[in-house]
Amino acid sequence: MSTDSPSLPDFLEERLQEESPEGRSSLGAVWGLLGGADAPATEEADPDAAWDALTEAHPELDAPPANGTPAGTAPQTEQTEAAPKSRRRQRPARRSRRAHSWRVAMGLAVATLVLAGGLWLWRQPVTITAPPGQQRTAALPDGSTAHLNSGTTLTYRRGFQSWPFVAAARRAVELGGEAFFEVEDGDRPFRIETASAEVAVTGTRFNVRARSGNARPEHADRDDARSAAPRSAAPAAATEVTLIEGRVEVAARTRPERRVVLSEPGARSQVAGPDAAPTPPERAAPKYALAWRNGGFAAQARPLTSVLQDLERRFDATLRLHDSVEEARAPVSLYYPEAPDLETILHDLCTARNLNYRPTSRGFELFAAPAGR
Amino acid sequence: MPDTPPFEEWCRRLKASDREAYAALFDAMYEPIFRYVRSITSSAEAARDVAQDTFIRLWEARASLSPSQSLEAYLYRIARNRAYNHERNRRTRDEKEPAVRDKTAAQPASPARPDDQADADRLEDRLWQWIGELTGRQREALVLTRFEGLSHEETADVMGISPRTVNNHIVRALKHLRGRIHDYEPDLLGRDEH
Repeated sequence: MSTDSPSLPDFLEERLQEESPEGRSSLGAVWGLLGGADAPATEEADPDAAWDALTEAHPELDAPPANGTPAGTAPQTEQTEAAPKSRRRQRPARRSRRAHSWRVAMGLAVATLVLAGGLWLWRQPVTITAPPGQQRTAALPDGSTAHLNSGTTLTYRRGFQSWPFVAAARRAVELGGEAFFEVEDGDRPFRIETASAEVAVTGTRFNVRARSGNARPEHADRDDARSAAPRSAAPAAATEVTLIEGRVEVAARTRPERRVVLSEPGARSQVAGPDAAPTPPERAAPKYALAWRNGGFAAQARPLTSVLQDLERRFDATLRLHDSVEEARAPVSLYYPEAPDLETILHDLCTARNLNYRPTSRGFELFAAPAGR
Repeated sequence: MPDTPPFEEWCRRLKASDREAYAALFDAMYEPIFRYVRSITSSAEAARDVAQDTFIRLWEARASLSPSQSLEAYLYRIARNRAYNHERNRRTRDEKEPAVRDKTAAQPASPARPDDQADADRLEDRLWQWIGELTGRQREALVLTRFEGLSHEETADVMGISPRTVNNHIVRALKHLRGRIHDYEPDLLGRDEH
């Protein structure tokens, strides 16, 4: 790549070995001078108009993505939908091709109002949501991608800019739920904030799970049955970060100075709440943390209730635990590398815990098997 | 250029018909491609057509993209073929035009300005005027390596010649410019960098 330094690039230095040093240096000076010149044709280029013309002639290029699976997503995830509809998000409002004269006549006040309104709209954070039962791939403004698991919300500043054309100091996203990130290298730090933790990143790939996974339903609850999932994520949802490649730093929201560095592939750290210290890195098999990306499902020694919450999000069903079920928080381990259906999982779960299940209007209910069985 | 665009990723996503990647690529590469095409074609209008064609062609050919190849060089190569075809067709259509495109055709040549404007007449304008005097290939090799940030291997790939020949073109171009700069203001070359 070219630089603005006046020295010649290597490939030319070699070619000029037979030149005198003065000759080389003066050619280097020419090369350097050129570095300060901008091609005049740049002013003639009008990418916005060109894009309009292009998509006018070929509307198919502008259509929102078809539901073809994006590269890198295994075919089993039929819920996967490709990213948000708006292409060329990085550009704030597109300039209209020809300035209409009536626009010029518009009052200054109106223009100011419109501008202020536009700016206000522009400042609204961009939110990408994968609803229960679906997964989604989000292309972020810097070229990074986030693959969102079911029931996950990702929010960020439009274009990672604090104002139009003004880059924000860092690339910041807020995560509620679970996502796999592939972060592009960049000058600005990339930071993920969850309810409990913040994760600082350079270019790398890793999984972040911010679920109220350990939130326990009241065992003393005397209703006939209870939903496994308190729908709103508890404010202090625990965060679990699993590194696949690269390096990340994990810290609790309110104690950024106590950070844990993950640099080994497969390393994992957990933050239980906004002021909890991150656990020291431990080795974990990434296949469990990443099973969801291939449409699979995994739980490693997690409370039954937490596993049911995951299943509810994943399959957009309501799962209830009948009162007869004991030890609702006893740990369960499951691993399906490829897309299982809900009943398969429930069947295995019930076999392992000696339970039964029956359909309800919106899902299933688990209950203790009769003693004789 | 601040960040290198993620060409490999775009290539992968384009293969999967990802329109968002296509739009991102368009955003990043339209201006460079336009500038480059403009250095070959006779008018801005023609450059716009060729640049648009280039991006359409890229989309049509997305299935055959190979991540091991440089997507950037590939894009320039399409642009180059289209631009030269366009110019060839134009010349056959318009016989009156003498076939000395190499010397005169393309853009940069801002008209020489009268001397009393010398102050405003910045070195930059002069440079582009002189770049306009280069032969087509010299100009192309220089523009691709110096202004569009391609490596000399990529440039060779785009131009369909050997890296060695690219170097020769660049050196000849630099020597020509050195002569011009020397006549204009010898002090500009005096600075020793070692």
